[in-house]
Amino acid sequence: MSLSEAEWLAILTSLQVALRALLFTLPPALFFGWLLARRRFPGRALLDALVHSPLVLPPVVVGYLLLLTLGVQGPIGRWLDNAFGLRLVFSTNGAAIAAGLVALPIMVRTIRLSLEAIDPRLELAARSLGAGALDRFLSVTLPLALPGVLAAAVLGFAMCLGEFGAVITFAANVPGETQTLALAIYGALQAPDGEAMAMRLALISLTIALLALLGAEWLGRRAGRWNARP
Amino acid sequence: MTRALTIDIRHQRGDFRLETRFEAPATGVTVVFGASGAGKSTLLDLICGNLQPDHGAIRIGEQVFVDTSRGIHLSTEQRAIGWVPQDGLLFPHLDVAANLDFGARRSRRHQSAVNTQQVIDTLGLGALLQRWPRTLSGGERQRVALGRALLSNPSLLLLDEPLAALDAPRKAEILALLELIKREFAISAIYVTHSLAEVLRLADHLVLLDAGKVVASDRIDALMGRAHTPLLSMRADTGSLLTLQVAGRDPAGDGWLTTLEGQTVLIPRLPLAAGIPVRAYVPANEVIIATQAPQGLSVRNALQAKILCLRDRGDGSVLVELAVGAQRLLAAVTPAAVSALALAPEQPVYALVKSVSLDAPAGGRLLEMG
Repeated sequence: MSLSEAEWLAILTSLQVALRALLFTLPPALFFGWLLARRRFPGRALLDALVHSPLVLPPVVVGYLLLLTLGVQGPIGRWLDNAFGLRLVFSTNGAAIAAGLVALPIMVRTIRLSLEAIDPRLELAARSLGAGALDRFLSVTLPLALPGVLAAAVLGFAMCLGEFGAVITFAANVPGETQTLALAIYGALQAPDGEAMAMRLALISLTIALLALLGAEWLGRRAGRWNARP
Repeated sequence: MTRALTIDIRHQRGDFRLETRFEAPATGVTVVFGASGAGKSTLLDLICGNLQPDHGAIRIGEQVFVDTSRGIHLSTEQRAIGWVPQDGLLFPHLDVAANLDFGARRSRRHQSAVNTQQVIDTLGLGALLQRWPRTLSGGERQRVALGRALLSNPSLLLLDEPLAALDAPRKAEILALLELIKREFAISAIYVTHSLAEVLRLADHLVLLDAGKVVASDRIDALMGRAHTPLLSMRADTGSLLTLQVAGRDPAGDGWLTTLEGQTVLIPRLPLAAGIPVRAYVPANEVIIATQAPQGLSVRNALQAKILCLRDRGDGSVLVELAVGAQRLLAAVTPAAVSALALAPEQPVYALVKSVSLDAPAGGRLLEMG
């Protein structure tokens, strides 16, 4: 099966978008997951609802809200443009932000569950042995949550790979910039003789998704090997 | 007392009020003893810094953990506390060697009082170093937890019912190790328990906690064997701690002869060299009082004693506090016996000791205990 240049471009763009989305989304997902798992503060329920809202909103609405805020006319978008000359719309980074935002709730949820499964007294034990907050997080909390964090990353990656509505609304369908596999498949299906291309791209999507899931399974087992029964 | 552990705190948590004040020597083992709900875990949280007291101070020697009047509040990680809870709380993602190393690498106090190899040897950890916590038995886990706490070079060892989750043989094993640790390393430890057996084996200083208040705090031998010690004297298994000097084998049998304040006490076993003191526990209901020198009895230990005071416990028994030389011995008798024998303070009597349980040596070598 030989691939056309346009098809390769869609694959590379998809990987670019998904990896960047992961890069943008994983740190806030870790932070929100930790905040919701470990802290009690006023407004926690509201934050919880806000973080989860992309899960229940149509992705098109997420993209539209991004357009309103980060678009060239939006308050943050205008500021970014004026201060840094940075335009997110129609860019790979914009596509990554849109896809990442849709994946965020699932990632936060997965991370939060894995953090909640850790006995908080282990963190207290680390404190009593002299570990400060960051030290404790890096040497105890994160390694213990690592299988969950990896699972969140892979789920997020897979979701970003397939995200359609938010990306096309906020970042449009620009080949080489924002045209991911999902968008390319949609485009191919609109063309009169695009069915073969759509099929190839669909198979490639499936392959990438399966490889990611298998890789995650393997990484998760390695990260959690201390947990294996003797 | 050059270095003392001082705790003087008031703390309200919901309906529960902890109002605790005591001073103990900073070296040796201070046992905090009380029923569940007495405030032991709140006290522990306050000592390790997991909770901030509403008012008060906790000091160990010159080091101030917390002092609300001076606005001092050290975080848990600054306090250097070797915390050993009942389940050990080993880090499951680190092997035994890395667990032991965790605290050692982060120790803030540079002149280390403990030697790594010595800790590993004393606790028998050499063969466990490459194992994962998950594969360890309960007793092994507690040994590693003790080692990890010791190697962090703590200013205070905080033992939170470290034996509660173990079966009887493991309990005996870890108790023996704790005694060894106590002798080998000059530690300061607070040991929280509701087990009288552990108190008897380990305590130098005893703090009795009841409903959030300290009802007694003193050297263990000043609280045991007293008819009026709160909490302890009301227990069915209350008794006395005696210090015996081993004199030698009993020529007439299998046992050993010891001396208690110049009088001879026969004990069933204890292969120790003569002259070494032994700490023995005598339950009050194992002691019989006679007003005349007994004859024709199977009980062989008859000690000359003097009644110091009597206390009716209101449950059909009277505690009689006896002086045997400078040591105290408690006997539990019935009110009927008190009136029949006309027992009264200052009266000389004979105390017949049915059994002596040898719980801990007061010094010298460790005993093999069953």
